[in-house]
Amino acid sequence: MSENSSETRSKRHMGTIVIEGSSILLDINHGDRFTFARAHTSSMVKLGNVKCSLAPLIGCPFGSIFEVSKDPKGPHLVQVSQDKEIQSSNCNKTEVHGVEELDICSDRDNRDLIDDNTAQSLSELEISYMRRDGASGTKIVEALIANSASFQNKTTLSQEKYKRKKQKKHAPRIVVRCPSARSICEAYFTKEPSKIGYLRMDVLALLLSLANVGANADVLLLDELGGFLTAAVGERLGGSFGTICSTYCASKVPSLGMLGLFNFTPCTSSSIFCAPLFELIQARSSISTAEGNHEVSAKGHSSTEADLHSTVLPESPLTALLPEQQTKIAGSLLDESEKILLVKGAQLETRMSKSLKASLIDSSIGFPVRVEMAAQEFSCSYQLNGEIEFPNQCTVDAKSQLQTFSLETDNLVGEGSIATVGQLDVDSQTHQLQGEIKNRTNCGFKGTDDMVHTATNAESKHDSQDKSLRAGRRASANQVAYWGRHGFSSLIVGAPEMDPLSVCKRMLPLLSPSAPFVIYHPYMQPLAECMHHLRKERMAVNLQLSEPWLREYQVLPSQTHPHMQMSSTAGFCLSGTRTV
Amino acid sequence: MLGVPRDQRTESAECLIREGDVVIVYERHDRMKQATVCKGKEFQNRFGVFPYCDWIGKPFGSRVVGKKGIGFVYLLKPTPELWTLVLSHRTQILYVADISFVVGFLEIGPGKVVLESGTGSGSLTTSLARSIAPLGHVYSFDFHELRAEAAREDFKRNGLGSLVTVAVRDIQGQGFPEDLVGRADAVFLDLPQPWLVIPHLGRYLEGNVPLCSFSPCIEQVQRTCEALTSNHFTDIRTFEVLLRSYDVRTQTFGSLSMTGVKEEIAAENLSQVRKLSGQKRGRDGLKQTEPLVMQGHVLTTEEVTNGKECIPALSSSSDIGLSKNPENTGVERNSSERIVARPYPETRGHTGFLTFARQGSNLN
Repeated sequence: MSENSSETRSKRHMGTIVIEGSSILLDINHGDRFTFARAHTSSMVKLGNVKCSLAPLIGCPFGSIFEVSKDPKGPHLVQVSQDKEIQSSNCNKTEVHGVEELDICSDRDNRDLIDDNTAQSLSELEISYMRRDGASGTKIVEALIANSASFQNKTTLSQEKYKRKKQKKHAPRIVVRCPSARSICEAYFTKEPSKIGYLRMDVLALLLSLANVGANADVLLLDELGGFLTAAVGERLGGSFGTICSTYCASKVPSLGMLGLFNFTPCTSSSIFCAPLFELIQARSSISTAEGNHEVSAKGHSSTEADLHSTVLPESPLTALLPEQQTKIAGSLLDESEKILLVKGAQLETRMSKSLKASLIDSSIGFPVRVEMAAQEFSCSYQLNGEIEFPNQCTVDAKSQLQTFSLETDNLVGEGSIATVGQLDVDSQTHQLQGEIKNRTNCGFKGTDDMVHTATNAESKHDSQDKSLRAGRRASANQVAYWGRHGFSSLIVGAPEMDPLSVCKRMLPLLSPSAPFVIYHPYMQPLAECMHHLRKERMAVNLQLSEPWLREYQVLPSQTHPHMQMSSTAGFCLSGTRTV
Repeated sequence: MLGVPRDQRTESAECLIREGDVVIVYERHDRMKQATVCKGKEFQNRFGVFPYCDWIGKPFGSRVVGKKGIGFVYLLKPTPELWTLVLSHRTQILYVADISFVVGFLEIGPGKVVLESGTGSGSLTTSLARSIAPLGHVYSFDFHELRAEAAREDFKRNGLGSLVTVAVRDIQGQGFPEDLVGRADAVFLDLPQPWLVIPHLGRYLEGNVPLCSFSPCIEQVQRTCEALTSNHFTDIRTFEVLLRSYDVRTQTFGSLSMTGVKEEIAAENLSQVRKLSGQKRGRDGLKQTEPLVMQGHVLTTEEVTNGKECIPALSSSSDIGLSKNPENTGVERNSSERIVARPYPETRGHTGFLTFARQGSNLN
């Protein structure tokens, strides 16, 4: 038990303080604005109209509060005492002006209040002078209160509200939070719900429970919610020896950009795979390694337990893959329809370099080639150099034709579904190649997202943590065969644009018997129809069509009531258990 | 109940029912029971008699038929969600809506250590155990010795014995044990008076550890929040979660068409006239003829006999009546069976309020 506790403490360290390079969630002005950022010394955040460095946040415990402080050197963030903050945000039984008062019993009210903007005698110009002269936000708020003719006549509650409002404008506060599925979900749901398919945090939690996501689960996902669902399942499985397969139709590889927001350990990331649906169906119906798809598998390598372990990476993902097995994996990922598949090997010699193996089918020379490269990863690019290995059939002429090697992948392992593009020059004599390829979204996070903040600049050479390595990599043939033999232990579907019944018909057979499944959909009618047919065909039992409901309360002395704002709906869930 | 690690997985270990297994017997929608497979014994319910030996060797998810072919049930593999619906209620329990929200908000995951008080019937505990497996632990406390023992047995039967430690302790009076200081990753309280414990929780919650308190009554919530505030807790939030379930069925809908309207009106007028002619006599003893009023419009004698066009025909309920009447052949009814859903009229209204908070961090 003592091993457990020390292990727990060090694990807890992950969620306790801000670690350099990790992803963090900034809560600005108590929910007014949310931003994701990377905790680098060079990262900046915009507060009001000033930009501040996030460096002071590193090493601080989560939940710490910061506000802008003016300095001759420039505005920077300074940590604020928790007590002061608690008082102003939680408590309304205040000690304003030294008087404790309950508002209901107050003899003040708003009968004499005239709302004509003349109450404040401090002008905009005077305020800007104060700011220019370096007055702190709090000082400005105090001055505003002192110069307000109507302030004294306000009720205590009104006074607090006024104070908080002025504080938000002139002394904005940042609370640094640990990004978790719940906090990220809530942030997005409040500000940009369409990015996560209008998934509210209680609905997300319900999906994870109904799908029995836990130890040693093999979860099948149809995630068309930006990859958020996959990441949330990944967090819940947390490297506990289970696997997640995010499946997709045709060549529409699921976007897994959200994975970068979570601070996943390599163990967690390594349990997240993706595989096309047809492969899973084939494997399940034939219960044998899909034949004819792959060069290497046609050579007849048998699936041994060792292979399974190596691809599944249960315990020490960084050492599990041996070079020979890497080749097999790279080979087995060769697919006619894929132009390039880039696989990052698990061998990390030093923290700065990684070895890459890639198999390329380049139509220009008509032969597949294999490349082994050493890559040095920078925040926005990879520096590569390596050698091309041609197959024996390749003539000298053909070899010399390969002048450039273009690298382009939609499922670059390690950063989720992030495109990496570039062209490398090939030396026609030695067949060495070198060059640089840009990693489009490794500069912080996806740039198009308002919520997301590009934190680093291209020049900074930061050693990004291995957190998101290999999340979302393509499942090997062995892995797919394993799932075909045993079936998945549960299914979660989050595809608002797919018909639930057709999804069920194709995907329920992929589950092991008595496996739970849950389908989330923004509309009820498609789920009702699906439920009816599943019942009729006896494909499932324990079917339940639910609409989750969530309400938050304000609990304060004599002022307890539900929040004025509420989410009216967040979609519907159809859950059930597959029958044999 | 938990997933089996890959290296221990065989076909049978995973899927097939064995002697001693706990099985969820699904009888009908909303009716499930737990059963422990025991060779030689039988499972009986209103549908039939089911010898356990018939179940052994069958995969979970199978449909089994009772003795002499009478009755059938489905045999499901236990999950914490199913367990919540079949466990024996020794106390009021938490259901999946609250449980899932708590697990999500407290960010419970593999390897974490959770403190819980009180154990009750073990509904939440089972879900907590599933979420922290395989390396975490749940320390659960209940002040009732017999219930604690019953819970322990349930956990053992479900294969969770190594993940949950149930101890008999009055947390309200004594607080959590000293040796758990600094070890928890989340704390859950389901106590009648949580405000008594809150002042002593600081040390257990150091390091951004979240706390959840579940209380059915709003007064309890208020006192809890006051205690949290005065003990320098932060991020205090109170929620209520519910699930609204939908009843899905098919229904045939009548529809209205414009053809046959004339005939419908004539028929209706006829039946009205028939009704009125049997009316009571007026005070003067003579028959009273009242003007026929249809849809607020007083019909003239001509209209009654000819049938006024474009007056909408009757409501669908009388439509049905008409269609049953063989004389009214002019009425055209399109009927279509549709899949419809509406909330169940009876639904769970309230279980309790969930209050979350974190210990405020100290300035470095």
